[in-house]
Amino acid sequence: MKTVTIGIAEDQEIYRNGLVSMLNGVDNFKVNVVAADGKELLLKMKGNEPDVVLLDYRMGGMNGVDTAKKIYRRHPNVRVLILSMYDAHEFVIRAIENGVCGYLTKDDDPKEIITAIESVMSTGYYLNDRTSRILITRMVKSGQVQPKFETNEAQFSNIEIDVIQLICQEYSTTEISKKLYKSKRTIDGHRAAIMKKINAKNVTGIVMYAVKNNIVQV
Amino acid sequence: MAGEENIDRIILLGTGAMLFLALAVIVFIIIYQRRMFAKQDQINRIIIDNQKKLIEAEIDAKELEKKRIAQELHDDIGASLSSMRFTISALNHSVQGVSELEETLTRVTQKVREISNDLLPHVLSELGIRDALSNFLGQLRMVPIEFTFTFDDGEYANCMSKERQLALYRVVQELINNIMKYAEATHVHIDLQRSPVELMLRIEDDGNGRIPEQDARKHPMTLGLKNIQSRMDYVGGTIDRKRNQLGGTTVTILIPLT
Repeated sequence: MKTVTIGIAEDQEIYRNGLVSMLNGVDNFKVNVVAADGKELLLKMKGNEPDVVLLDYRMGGMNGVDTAKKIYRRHPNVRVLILSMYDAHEFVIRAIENGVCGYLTKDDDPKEIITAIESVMSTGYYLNDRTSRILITRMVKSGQVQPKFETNEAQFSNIEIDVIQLICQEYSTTEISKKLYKSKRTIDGHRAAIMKKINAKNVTGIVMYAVKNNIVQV
Repeated sequence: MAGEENIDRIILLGTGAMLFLALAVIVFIIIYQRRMFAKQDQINRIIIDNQKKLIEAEIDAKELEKKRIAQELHDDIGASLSSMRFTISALNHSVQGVSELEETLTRVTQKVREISNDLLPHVLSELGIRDALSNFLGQLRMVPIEFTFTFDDGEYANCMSKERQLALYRVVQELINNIMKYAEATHVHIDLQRSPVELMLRIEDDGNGRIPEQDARKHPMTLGLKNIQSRMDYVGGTIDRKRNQLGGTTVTILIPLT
């Protein structure tokens, strides 16, 4: 298997070290560039171009998105993933707008970073449930995706329709349970039932289905 | 006869002199008063200037302290908590307690981020006022008021200094809080536009239209209003409240870019 080389720009030393040692522990991964900010990374990347770069969003010298923009121009073959503490939509949108292939938060399971790198290497991008939901909602809101008028193939109960609509509005399970006065477990059950009915594997599937079948009004 | 003429002349001269003297005194008093007024004016201006500087210094100090704590929380504690994830992730998940540990860690990390974000909104410091406002309004989903906004396109991240953007953000936060508490509105619309020299923000609600200053005595929100005013003074902007045709209130804020 071909070795995947990885570059990292992260200003928090303690986190950076954890990241490097985890990635170097993966069989065909090799971290070959380590930097404390974007500027240092770009300097070290000259003549030593990694396959994938992990960037923190907020860094002392040059932030993640500005660095991504520069990488996109100077090293078009390098894939960029953002790995940040920030999880607000606006960050995800700005990152994707600037040529980033995926967005992870430091709250996510560290193993997801490995999955993301593998996905970026094989498909060129990595979108998890959160990022795809943010992007789809954004596209629907801005009119780039038009919901189609079709009769619902699957039959949903009223509560399931409520759950679908709230999922599309980006409510979390906990928020939905509060809003509908049900337990979190019940909502999880409804969600599973919905996914089974439409044969979806994840939340993105639900959002896509809802948009296509006009269950959500946008 | 000559003596009488002399007396007349003396009286005339005396009267003239008296009149002249009176006039001189009046002129003197007027000039003196004007000077006094000018001086008083100058003193007032200095006092106002000093107050303004004091308010500015206070706002600066407060925001600086908040920023420091926010960054410490985010960078130091946040990073340490995140790095703990690597250790936990390497542990065997069948061992009892590992999943609970992970859940607790997630909760603590989220809480730390929330506190840090309340102190200094990350979206504002990184992406600017427009994204920060859309993020702030997005967080109000659980509120029974419908918020809509039209933000005109264009460069907002660096349109004015971060201090000014933060002041505007705090004013909007305070105004929206007031609407949620007192206005009994069902719909609020926010409009953000910029010209080459200034930024205009308008908040329109369909609430009860009470203009806060007019019944400030009845409602304990004077502190919030004072905050708004001192922040507007800080950025040299203007704020105007009017009743609108919906019966609610329209607040218009103008802030010069520099």
